[in-house]
Amino acid sequence: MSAYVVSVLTEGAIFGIMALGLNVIWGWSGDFDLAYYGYVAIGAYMTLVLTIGAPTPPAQYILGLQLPYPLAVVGAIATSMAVGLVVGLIALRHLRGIYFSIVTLGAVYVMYVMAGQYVPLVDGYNGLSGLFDPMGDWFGLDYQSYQYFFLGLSLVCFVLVFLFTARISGSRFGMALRTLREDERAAAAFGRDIYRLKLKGYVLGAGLAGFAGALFAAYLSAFNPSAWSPVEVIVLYSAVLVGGRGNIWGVALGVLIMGMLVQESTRFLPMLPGLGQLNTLHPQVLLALRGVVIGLVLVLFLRFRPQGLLPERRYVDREPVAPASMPAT
Amino acid sequence: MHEALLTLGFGIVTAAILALSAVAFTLEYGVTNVANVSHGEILTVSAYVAYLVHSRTGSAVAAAIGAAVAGGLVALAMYMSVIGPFIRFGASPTVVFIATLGISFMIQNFLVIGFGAENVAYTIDPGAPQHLGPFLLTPLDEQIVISAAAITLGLYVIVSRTKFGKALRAVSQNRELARVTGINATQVAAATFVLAGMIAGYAGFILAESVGTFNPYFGFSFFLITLTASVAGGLGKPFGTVAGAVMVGLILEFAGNYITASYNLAFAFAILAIVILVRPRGLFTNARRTVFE
Amino acid sequence: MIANRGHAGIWRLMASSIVVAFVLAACGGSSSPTSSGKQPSGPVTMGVLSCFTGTLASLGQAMLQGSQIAQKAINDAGGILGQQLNITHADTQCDEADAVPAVRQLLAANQVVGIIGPETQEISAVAPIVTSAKIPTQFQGGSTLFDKNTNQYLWRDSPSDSQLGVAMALYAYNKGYRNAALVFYSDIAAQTFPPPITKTFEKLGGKIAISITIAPDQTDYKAQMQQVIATNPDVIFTQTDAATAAVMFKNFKDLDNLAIPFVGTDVTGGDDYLKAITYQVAHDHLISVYGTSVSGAAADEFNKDFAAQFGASNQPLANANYAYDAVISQALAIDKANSIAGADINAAMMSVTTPPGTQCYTYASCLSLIKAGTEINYDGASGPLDYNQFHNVFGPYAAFQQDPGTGQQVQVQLLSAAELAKATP
Repeated sequence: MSAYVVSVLTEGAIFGIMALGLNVIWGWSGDFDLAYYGYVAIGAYMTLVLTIGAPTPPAQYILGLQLPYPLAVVGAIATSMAVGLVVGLIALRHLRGIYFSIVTLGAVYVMYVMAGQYVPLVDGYNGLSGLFDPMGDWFGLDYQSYQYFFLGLSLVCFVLVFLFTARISGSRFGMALRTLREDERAAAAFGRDIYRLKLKGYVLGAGLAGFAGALFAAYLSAFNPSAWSPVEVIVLYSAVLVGGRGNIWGVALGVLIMGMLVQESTRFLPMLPGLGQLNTLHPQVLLALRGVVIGLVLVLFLRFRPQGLLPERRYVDREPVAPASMPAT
Repeated sequence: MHEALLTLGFGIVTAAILALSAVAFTLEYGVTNVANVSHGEILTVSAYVAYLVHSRTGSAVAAAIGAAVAGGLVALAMYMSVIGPFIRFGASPTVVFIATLGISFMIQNFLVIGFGAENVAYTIDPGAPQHLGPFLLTPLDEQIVISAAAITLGLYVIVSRTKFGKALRAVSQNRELARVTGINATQVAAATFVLAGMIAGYAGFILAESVGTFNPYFGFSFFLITLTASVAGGLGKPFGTVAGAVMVGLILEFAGNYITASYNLAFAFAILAIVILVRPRGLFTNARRTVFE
Repeated sequence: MIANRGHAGIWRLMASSIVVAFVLAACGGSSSPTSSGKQPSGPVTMGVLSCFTGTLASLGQAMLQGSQIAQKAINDAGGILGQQLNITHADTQCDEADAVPAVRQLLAANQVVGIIGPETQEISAVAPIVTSAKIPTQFQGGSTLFDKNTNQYLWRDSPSDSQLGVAMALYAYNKGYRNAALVFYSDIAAQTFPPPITKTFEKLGGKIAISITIAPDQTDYKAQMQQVIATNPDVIFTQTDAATAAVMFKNFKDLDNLAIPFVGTDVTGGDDYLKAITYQVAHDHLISVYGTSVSGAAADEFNKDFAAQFGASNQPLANANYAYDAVISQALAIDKANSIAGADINAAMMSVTTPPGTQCYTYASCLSLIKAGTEINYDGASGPLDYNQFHNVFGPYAAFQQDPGTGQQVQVQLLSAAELAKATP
């Protein structure tokens, strides 16, 4: 199997984990959280500072331990959850809707600026690198075989997260989250502690983001602020939207379509006759065109199919009820 | 002290541009309850139009008019094609917010296709700097501040004295009630967007000429600061916004000088977050309208 | 309930994916054997791996431009090992996360034998991949982290900022400036300059009055520029991107009418930067210091080829000459090694670019020397390309001034390698 395909699938699996986590916060809790990718970045950075050892000057960064990879992953998840807790405590208290989104955007921007500008933290714009083939030596794998191993590992992790979120979906906690989303006042009337529930969901989502970030760091072997590109963020959110917010199968489908096909489309379109020539003369056209397509898809879906391709399954009871034609938020 | 006053002078110019952009954004929000994330793109497109007009005609005045017209058209298009239909469809503000994010992304990429992603140099001779009291400003700076003040004044007259202004205020406060009294809310909103777009277009023009360069992403970065100013001033209240813009512009200038400019936008967001958390209605309002949910 | 029904299916899914994972790992997949002495069976492809979108898109364009000029020169001279050269490209979006699939695509789908690029921020993620695939990669990026590079497959044909910093300080000192200000933007590419400039300038006897970092793409820097002016420097060392420069120069014009001269880098000598501040301003106030080959013959050839392809009124983009040299040197290495296997090309790279050998400056002339069995030493458009053991280049630098009439950069002073070595702290 071509190394390129392996790499795209691996990235897809990691992306899938990110999307599932975002689904908890946006799909079930109903909050459009713009800080989400920040938790992914935190997970990636933490994994690196826990595995690449002490900094060699002039590089500077915190910690710099050399723990085994699985331990570092745990550390990464814990850190993301901690930061998510802090942001959630502030943002979820009284804010909903656009104000919540703006404050989370502010939070992620501050994280981004700190990571990029405050050098002693994670070496600023240089970023961190050096995480080569974690756990590869346990199994005595050479570089090529390791790619397959890591693909398998990422897929297994994705399936685990999928199972996990499936359980949550059907659990009382998951249902409570969705109730909150539909109607907060009614939920409050039923004695739900809105704040605590949302916070739990938020921290859970952040933890999944951290997990994805840890895998992402291993995939890239490095991480720096250039990896926080807005294009990726928009693709992530549109994957959740297009696939079906609130439905984990939908999210998986969304990642397949938006995350993999659309993202990689620009690598293959030039192979079509005519486009190849255009691509050589004006390389940015096809890539910008992809951006236009992504934006267009986002708007069209929001207007005509906001529930996504695979809408959330409504847990209805036997009594006839007016059809819910308008999806929430 | 001298340096502080100089900084103040520079800050006022930034604040003037910011005020125009923020006021336009607030107008858009006022009549639709929608935070238009693609607002920054109005400035960007207008800057490109101004550049094209200027290269053809060699006249800065023509460029300014071209920018304003372009801005009005773009804003109208945004309203007619996306924002208006979404509102009629009954979408929640968050949904429209995300949709405008999508539009923003599309416009930026269209501009990349059309003009390339690199920077375009837009130079107009600003004239020699003069000492105006304790400040150091060029004639261009003075023009910017004066025109910003004039536009704000004009806006005040329109909003408070004309029939249109009354309708605008009515729709901003309560769309349904306005409808009941016979006001065509959609038309008023569309007209407001045109007005806001023209102001934003002009802001894009002066921002581009004062900075001397721009690229497809330039409006969006300015938008983040615009958002801060608008929220600080009170979303939906045009004149609180002007005060908010002045405040934010000055804070950023001072923070950039005395602390460090690298953290500029982080500062803007810190301000934003604090304002939202502490006084979400804005610092200069006593509006009855609460946090928009 | 739905959850229960789904459970069985999900367990099966999980079990099968674990099995698949192990099977895949066991299969391993065919590691592309880079056996020696491989002859090309068709056109030879090299890949440009760089940013083609985003604000640094001009970098990718420049790399592609330089590569295309080299491609034409090579194909006109008969190609590589008798085959035509194709240049393909992949976009990293200046983003590590996209760089990984991009480089894999170049390797797998395009079967490139050599890579030009990427940039400093992507190199850490790309390095392990190209190393295991044994593909020589010539990247451009001044980060001083690479001064002690031990990766055999990575070559850097642009000078380290540590070297360029020395050259800038030396030039300024020679001009008589003693009090300097540093204004660099926060980007990783520019932040590596202040230390070598400072050390060299102070070693020579000058003084650094102030060193500030500015954030890119802001609308106004007057407050900080005023701080700089207040320290009364004789010269300002600078590198920023074109957009930031435009604002900065404007601010200085407003504040002190550009009274203080600027000394810049290869970035400030690029066409987009010069256009952003205008050619006239550049001529009057800016000197750009960067690498050059001693005789300039290769640079002349490069400019000639550029004019033939793109028109005489245009100027090559900044750094295009590095890509040109990268392609030419890789092509010559293939010709010398008589093989397109990565390991062979890599082994031959040193011998075609460094002494001993007859100096040659164009692909055509170098190729005929190789065919005649002579050792060559290709000196490129961007510098003599004499790699040291860390695969870094050094060599003479020169100060360039913009000629507003022709739109070209004109060399005004040469700084020899010997002088630079002496000035290096």
